[in-house]
Amino acid sequence: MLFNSIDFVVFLPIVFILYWFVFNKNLNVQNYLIVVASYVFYGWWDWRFLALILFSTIVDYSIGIALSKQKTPEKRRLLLWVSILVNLGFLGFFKYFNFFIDNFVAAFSFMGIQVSSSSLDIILPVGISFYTFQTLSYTIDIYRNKLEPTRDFVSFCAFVSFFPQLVAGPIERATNLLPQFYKKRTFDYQNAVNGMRQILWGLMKKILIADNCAIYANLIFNNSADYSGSTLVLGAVFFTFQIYCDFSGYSDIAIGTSKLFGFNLKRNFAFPYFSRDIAEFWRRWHISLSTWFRDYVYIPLGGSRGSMANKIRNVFIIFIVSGFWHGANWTFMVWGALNAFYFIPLLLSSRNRNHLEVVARGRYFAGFNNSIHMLLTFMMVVFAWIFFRAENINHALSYIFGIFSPSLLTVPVFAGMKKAVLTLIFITIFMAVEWLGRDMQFALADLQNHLNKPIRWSAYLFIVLTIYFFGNFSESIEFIYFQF
Amino acid sequence: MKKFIINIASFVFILLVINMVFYAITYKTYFKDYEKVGLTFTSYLLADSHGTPLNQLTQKLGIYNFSAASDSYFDMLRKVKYLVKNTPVKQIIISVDDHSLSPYRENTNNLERSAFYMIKEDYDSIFTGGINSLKKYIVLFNPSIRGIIRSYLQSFIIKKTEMKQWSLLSKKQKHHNSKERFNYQFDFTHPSIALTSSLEEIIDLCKISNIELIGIQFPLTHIYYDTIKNNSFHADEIFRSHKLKVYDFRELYLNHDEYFMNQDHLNLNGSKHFIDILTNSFAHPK
Repeated sequence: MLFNSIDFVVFLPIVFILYWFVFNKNLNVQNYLIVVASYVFYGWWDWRFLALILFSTIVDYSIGIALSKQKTPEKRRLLLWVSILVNLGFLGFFKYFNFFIDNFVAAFSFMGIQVSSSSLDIILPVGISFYTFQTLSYTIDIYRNKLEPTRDFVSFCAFVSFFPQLVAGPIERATNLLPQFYKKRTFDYQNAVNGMRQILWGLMKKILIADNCAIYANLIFNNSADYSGSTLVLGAVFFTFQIYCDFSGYSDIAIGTSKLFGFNLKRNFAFPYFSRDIAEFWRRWHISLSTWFRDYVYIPLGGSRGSMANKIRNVFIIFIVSGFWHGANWTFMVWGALNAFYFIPLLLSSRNRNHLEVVARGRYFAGFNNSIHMLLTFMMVVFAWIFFRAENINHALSYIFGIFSPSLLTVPVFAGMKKAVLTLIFITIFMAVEWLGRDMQFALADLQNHLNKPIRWSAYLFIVLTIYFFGNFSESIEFIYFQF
Repeated sequence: MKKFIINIASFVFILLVINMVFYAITYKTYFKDYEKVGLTFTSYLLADSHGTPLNQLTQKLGIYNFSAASDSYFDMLRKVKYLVKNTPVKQIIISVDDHSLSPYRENTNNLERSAFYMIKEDYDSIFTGGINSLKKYIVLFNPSIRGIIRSYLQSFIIKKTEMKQWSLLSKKQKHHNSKERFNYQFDFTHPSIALTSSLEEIIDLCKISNIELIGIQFPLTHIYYDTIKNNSFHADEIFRSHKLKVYDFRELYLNHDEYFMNQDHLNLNGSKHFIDILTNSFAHPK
């Protein structure tokens, strides 16, 4: 079920009413309701996916309990590996099987040996990368004695399948989310209002900005050979805002929806396009995934300790694995490697933690230095997104060569340019609002302290009507991260 | 919780008021005329915007003009089913123009409006039927008709300029407009499968219901006729393959630019002349 669908508009109030008005007396029944609602939400795509998530839940629940009973390190390690192999096995099969087969065949054919290909017609279950990482972190935390295993199967089911964040995160840790299923939830007015506001802001990002940018990004990327350098730059910029507003919009709706049910999810984005270097960007972009890789891959590898070679190796591993997590395509790995190249000079010169604070806190303007740093970082990010969006490496390279041509200095031209200007105006207004709210959890989080009720409500109505009149409601546009 | 519910309810109420205003606009400017139909006729003309300039001049021939701009075979199928159920229809004249089966019609049509003519059997389930009916009233959940409201609101700010009649355009402009129209309708290699299937269903339904079905191809200007050349998605051929009569009027006014408002639509004057021609083919006492 998509957040931006009529189905969800009907689904959410029903679950909300049942949750707070019918089953509010009993915590267990509330948790049951969350599980049922989550399975309905997930099964809306394809009911067959439910078997997979249920199996994954049972495996990690059982291994969690077995780990707590087992004292011998070898047997504990074995149990951990069973969990890793089952979870990554599913992920590998559904997401990477065809990629490995195709590359295997291509490699042999390159060596002059013909091998018959047998790619399978595999449907990628929505959100598998997200809930797999969530359940994995549970088992690893128990293995590391950081977490007590739960014996409450319903709560664990709810933790794995919690519908607001099931298909595209934020990837929650059991240490944060699971305990919230044990405690009685009380309705908090401010939290709920903030949740509604965050949902509205997320929908605006998705429908008004991301889906409109998608029209032009798709047009330009799909026909890149026909366009001038300047148009290609514009195409990359459109994709830059598409992916940000698409993914952070989803996170906003997920976090906002959770607040309506009395849950607090992790923050996933912190205004990444205002970053002053790439290290800051990665502290602000897809935070739940970055911290996951940091805690479960980077630090166990040695992190930023050890020799220079080790540091460089670890950075490359984490960025390339992160790229590979996004999909079975070399473009994602090159995108990851490119970010590693951006990051390493900062790490080696110990400047990777220079910008921990919000840029220009308490001021309207960033100042010259900050502005230059933000602009340069933004340009590097836009450049890297070309690999992320391209169909394959050749496409990415031809796109980049197309940019660096004499036509770079011409005026961009493409079909629908006039309408695209309107989208650029929306992006500008959106970034201005984000800038004003950049020290908040999300741009509108502090609205009640700045605007009185009539003006605030007028602002909400304005956003609703702007989405209605100018948003892109094509049915085919799903959230980008559903494919990952 | 009480405060939250009151606030949500108040906000929803404001949205409902806005929705009512929007509904009034869409009903007045979009749905109202589409939902008008004469139920006592035995002969009906079903066409897209090629048929609309004829207005109800056709009633002189005993034919009710049931055409609407952008009507596709999806919409016409709904209308035919409705007519079979609610009128003493004996004859249906339906447009089989070169563009009628073009895949562009899959998106440019009147599904929102022709839902009015859907009969119970047309719905997959009560649920989809309910959703379809609701979408008409809950305009805020139906962004596909927001263009109607936007145009209406814009009409207060921007005065609509009168469209120049075809005969007053320069030759260059005529070629340009024709080319543009051609690219819009004929930028596909194959006819739409879905529209073809709807047309076949119309033919079958008429056969079963003992209704005489006749195809008609509307007049074109010389320049547009030359622009199209032999390009066609051949709705007329489907008729001929079923041994149904097709009246081809495409070449009727090739030398009468004064009868057209644009490259492929008659103006009022042209319509009056065309009705006289049709009298010989279709005259029916009401």
